[in-house]
Amino acid sequence: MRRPTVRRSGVRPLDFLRESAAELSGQPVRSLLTLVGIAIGVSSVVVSVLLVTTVRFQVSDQFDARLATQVVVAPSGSDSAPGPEPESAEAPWRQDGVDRVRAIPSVTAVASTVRSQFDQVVRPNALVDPTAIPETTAVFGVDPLAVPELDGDLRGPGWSAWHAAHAERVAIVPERAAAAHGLQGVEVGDRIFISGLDFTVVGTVGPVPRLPVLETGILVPDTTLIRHFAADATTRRLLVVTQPGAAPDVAEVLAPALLPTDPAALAVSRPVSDVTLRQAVDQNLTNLGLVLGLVVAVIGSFAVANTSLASVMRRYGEFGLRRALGASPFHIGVHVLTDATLLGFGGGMIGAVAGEAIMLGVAANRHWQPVIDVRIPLLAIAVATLVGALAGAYPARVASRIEPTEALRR
Amino acid sequence: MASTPLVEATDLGKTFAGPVPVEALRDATLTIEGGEQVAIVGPSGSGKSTLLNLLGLLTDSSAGSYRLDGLDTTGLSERQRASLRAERIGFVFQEFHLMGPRSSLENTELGLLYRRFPKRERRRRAEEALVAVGLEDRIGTKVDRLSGGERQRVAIARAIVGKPRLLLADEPTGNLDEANSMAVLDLFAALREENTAQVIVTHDPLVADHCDRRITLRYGRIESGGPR
Ligand SMILES: Nc1ncnc2c1ncn2[C@@H]1O[C@H](COP(=O)(O)OP(=O)(O)O)[C@@H](O)[C@H]1O
Ligand SMILES: [Mg+2]
Repeated sequence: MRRPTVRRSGVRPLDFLRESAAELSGQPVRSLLTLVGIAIGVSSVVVSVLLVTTVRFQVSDQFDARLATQVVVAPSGSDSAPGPEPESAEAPWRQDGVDRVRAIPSVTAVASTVRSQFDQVVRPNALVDPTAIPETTAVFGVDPLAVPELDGDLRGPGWSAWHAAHAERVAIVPERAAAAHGLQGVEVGDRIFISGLDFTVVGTVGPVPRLPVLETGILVPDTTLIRHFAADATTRRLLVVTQPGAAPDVAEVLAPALLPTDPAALAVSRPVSDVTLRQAVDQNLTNLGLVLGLVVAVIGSFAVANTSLASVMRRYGEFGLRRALGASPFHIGVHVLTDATLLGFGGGMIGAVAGEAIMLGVAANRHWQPVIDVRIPLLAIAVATLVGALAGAYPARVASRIEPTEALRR
Repeated sequence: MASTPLVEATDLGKTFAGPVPVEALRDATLTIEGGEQVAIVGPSGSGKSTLLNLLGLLTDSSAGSYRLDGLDTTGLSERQRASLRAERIGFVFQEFHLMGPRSSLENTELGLLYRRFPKRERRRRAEEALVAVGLEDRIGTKVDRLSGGERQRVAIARAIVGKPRLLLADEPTGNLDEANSMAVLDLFAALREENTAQVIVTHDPLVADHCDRRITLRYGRIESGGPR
């Protein structure tokens, strides 16, 4: 007897796309609504990610600007220098050098600081037994203008250049140091004792934002510190505050201006901790973009799944017919999957283009430098397509299991 | 040497499972030769559609055997049955089952979609089929805009575009007036020249009289007309 074999039928891959395109354009309103829904989601993600990227640049610039306003000068090799030599206790630069720096137009403040080589015993009055003081306190030698120039809120007259020139025993007591070292309630005019020497309090100060370390010790004139306590030359710093953005240029000229005879003896640096701060901000904003994208992807997948499932129900009879015409359950599943994937892709395309356009509009409106990064819209389209495919998986499974005889009975 | 009949069903049966199992078809034995035109008649619920679905490999039999074109169909996978439907069987339904927003041509092309024909070839053959059913001036028209008679002719074009060996029609004239019913019968008659066997489920005596043979079902059994 003749025994013919069953030839395997099938569908050309391009025909799946053709069928889906015909199906989606045959239901223009329905398709459009779904496409618009996806597009809105995708465009909002694209806009927010691009916005985040753009704003991130703005934020970074701001941080740069703030941090770029500080330049620090130290003696070369100050980190490794083992101990002070008698000559080096004084600042390597002279007052005329500091004046030259101050004369640079974009320099807004200059403050010289140095720390005592050893911390000292500080008492509120002579009645306190020095051996009963558990902790010693740092003493900083600063120049007369340092506190206000470092944005500190000085209460009291402070000292003048005359006090500094004569190495007078005057002190400014930061509130933080007072609280930490038993000097609470000390006021201008009081006398305190630093390692047995009496000092007149000429001011108190709260936070010193530009150099918070000064809050932890007693501030005295530079010359006074050198005369009565040994200064640790390695801690000698000249903090220069500039106008925004001028720091790199100021840093260039700082050493020659300060010490024309031996600029190499000075190390000029800019704070580095800000870079870390900027990275933290970057990371936060990036995470925000990712979370937003995830939320929209989930919402989008439900939207596509919903449309897709509704269309499977509507096309129940059609799928029965297709089975009669020779479609296998697999073919039916691929039809539904292709529809959903195409919806995701189309919505992603429209959304990415719209999002990019909106972003350019916003940037132009705000005079921002737009960040043009094609990877973001491309990624959005890829993700939307993938979301479409995933969302179509369940409806495809439902459609592939339709009983053709049931479906044809409608 | 006697040629193999196109359809050879032996003791075919179909029971629908459920709280009360329904034995929709029992011990159906019939043969159909190529090019033959067979009417299936019987009261409502007698198993006509069930028999047609079994012959069309749209559903599994519960008992008996079925050879189509000499090929034993028992134990075939759904994928293989789908291939056989695509290659050798055409269906026409009372409800037409057309895609309204698409044109006559697109609907007809669908009859070749699952056979890996290139688009151009599908289009050419679909146009031919539409000409054969007399719709040459409705090729690009959306099916939604066609009359009932025209729609059924599109459905027939879709069923015959793949030149099936077996055409199965379930109440093809059920929704048509007499003139359109006659037109459909004329189209079926023309298929005999292509050696396409036809099984037509009908309530219409006019249609049944037109056929070579008549199989009568009652209570899920073949009452008369099964084997030749
Ligand atoms: N999927 C099904 N599940 C249960 N019973 C069914 C199913 N399909 C048909 N039947 C039953 O089988 C019998 C025959 O149905 P059918 O072949 O459609 O009859 P006809 O086409 O002659 O009117 C009927 O009693 C019907 O209710
Ligand atoms: Mg019926």
